[in-house]
Amino acid sequence: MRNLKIFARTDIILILIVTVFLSGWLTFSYFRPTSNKAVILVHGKMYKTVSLDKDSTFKIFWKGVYLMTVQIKSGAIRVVKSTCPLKICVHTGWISKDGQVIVCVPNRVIIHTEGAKSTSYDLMTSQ
Amino acid sequence: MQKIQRIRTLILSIFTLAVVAVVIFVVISRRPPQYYVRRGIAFGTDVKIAYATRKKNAEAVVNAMFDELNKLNNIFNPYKPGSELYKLNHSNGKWMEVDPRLLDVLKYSIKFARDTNGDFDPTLGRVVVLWGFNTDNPHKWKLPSPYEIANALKDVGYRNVEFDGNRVRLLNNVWVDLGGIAKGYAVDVLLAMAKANDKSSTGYVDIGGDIGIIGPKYGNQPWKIGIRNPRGTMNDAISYVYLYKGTIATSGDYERYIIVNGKRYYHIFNPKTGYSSNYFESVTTISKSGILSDAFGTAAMIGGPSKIGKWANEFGVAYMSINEEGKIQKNSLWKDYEKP
Amino acid sequence: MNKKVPLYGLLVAVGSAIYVLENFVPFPVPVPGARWGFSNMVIVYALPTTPLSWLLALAIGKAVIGGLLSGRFLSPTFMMGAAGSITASFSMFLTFKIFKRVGLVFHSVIGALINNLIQVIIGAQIISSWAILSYLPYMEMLAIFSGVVNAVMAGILLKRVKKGVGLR
Repeated sequence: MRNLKIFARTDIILILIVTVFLSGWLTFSYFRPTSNKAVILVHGKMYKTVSLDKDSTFKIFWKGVYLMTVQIKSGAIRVVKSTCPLKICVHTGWISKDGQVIVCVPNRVIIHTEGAKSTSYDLMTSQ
Repeated sequence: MQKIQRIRTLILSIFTLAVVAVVIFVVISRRPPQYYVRRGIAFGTDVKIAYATRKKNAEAVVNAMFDELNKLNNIFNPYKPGSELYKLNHSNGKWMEVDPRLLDVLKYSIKFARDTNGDFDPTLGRVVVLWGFNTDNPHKWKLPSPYEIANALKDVGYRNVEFDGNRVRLLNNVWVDLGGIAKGYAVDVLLAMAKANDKSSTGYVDIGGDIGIIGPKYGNQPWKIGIRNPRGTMNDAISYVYLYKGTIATSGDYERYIIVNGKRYYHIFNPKTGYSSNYFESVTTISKSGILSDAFGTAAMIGGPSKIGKWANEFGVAYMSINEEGKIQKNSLWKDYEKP
Repeated sequence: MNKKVPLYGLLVAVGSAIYVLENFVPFPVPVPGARWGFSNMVIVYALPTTPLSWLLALAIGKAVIGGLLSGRFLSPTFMMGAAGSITASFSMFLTFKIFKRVGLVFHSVIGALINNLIQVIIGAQIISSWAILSYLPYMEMLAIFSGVVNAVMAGILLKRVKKGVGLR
């Protein structure tokens, strides 16, 4: 039985190295752009999957009828214009986190993000 | 001697690795199935269902749930010509045989109206139409004159709904609007479908914020549910609860409303005045049944702070209310859900 | 040899007790079934004087009895604990044999790091998503903490019982 040490100098070095490595990893993963996408459903069917990493603006048509204009900018997506009366979808504003959703009931359009940083909740209860 | 020691260590190492490999294999083979998630639109709102079952028929069950939702929508939408409730509202006081699901909900709503001394009233259809809140078009929402409201209130009153077996009769011109209760009922129906398929299945149904838990997340964790900030944006939560089972629903003044001369009027009406009560911005309710959670919130919006506590005790529900100053109030049952 | 059996029995008992008590300490990272790993304290305690076979028996013993006591025997949580504990014991044994000029903290931290790594890997299998791998750095930060705690507690105990009832 060799002499037992609780803390040796090497131990401190190990802890330091691991801590520095972990901090670096955390910082790196914090600043790394996540590869996000948004899924657009129209009338319950998959309409389009778009990457949120490329800024763009495009229009959604259903059976030749214009429904809305959607914009993607710096990892977030929003509805700019819509033919619906309430404009709830426009007022929802930007969404960027996993689990967030833009819904346009009159036009039957659902836009939700995927693979992004998640929201702090699974579900939202609202009126 | 040292050689034997080394061989022993080697054998032990291999044994350890084998044990770990077996454990990992067992865990993988026992893992719960992935959630099948489908979104759609029903009841004029977005619907999300997540479902996991060991029976491997999640997709078929969820599709059946959406079919059922569409059927329920066609029964309970009072303003859609051809729906069961539309027909009842236009039956001119004659006895009409109705779908058993409509009968169930009607009976429940009348009983609930009685239990809340008429603060909850399912016969406000005429008033809802007068204000224009039956449409999705905000340009048609308007403040009626006091005379019009008084007039419409003559055609309101839950005592005008009569039952005879599976037949229903609406007296005195009343129109039934089950908006404060139909979504909650649909939650109950879908939960029952999910459980009938597989008792140990898990997931949730979310019908525009009326949520029912099929079972805990991955079998053992709570679902974290945000309570929408009534004066915030769509994805802005003001508080959280953790649910393993049960249902949660919110009634609020922030989606269908108009502001006239600085005063907010919204779509939940006090059957005694024909106006909305301005007690709460929202009331969120947790209970065993979706229909109760839904109805309770509606009644509490009308009844206000003097009745909400008493009713919560009577019905055994947990609630969180936000009043017009933004002040949050919770009962003791609610606090049990705030910890994961 | 015969004298050792009750001593290891005692260690298994203490380890199981910590395992059960640990369930009441909230764990700040949302990885399903992940835990602090303080029950590995008994393994750190036994490390300097125990052959590998006994060390592993200790790890399995405390996982099984702790699992039975907390009603989680053979559940995914149990599997994570057991696999983590076993691999941690094994790796601590290795570092103890290889590195001679280090303290108890070194072995304990290595063990805790490996323990939590295994937990994340198995946790990812349980929820069938590698998304929780992003929690790994946080888990490993906590591992450093519990590793140091385990070593210090075990070390103090080792020094105290040196002349009394020990494992040698």
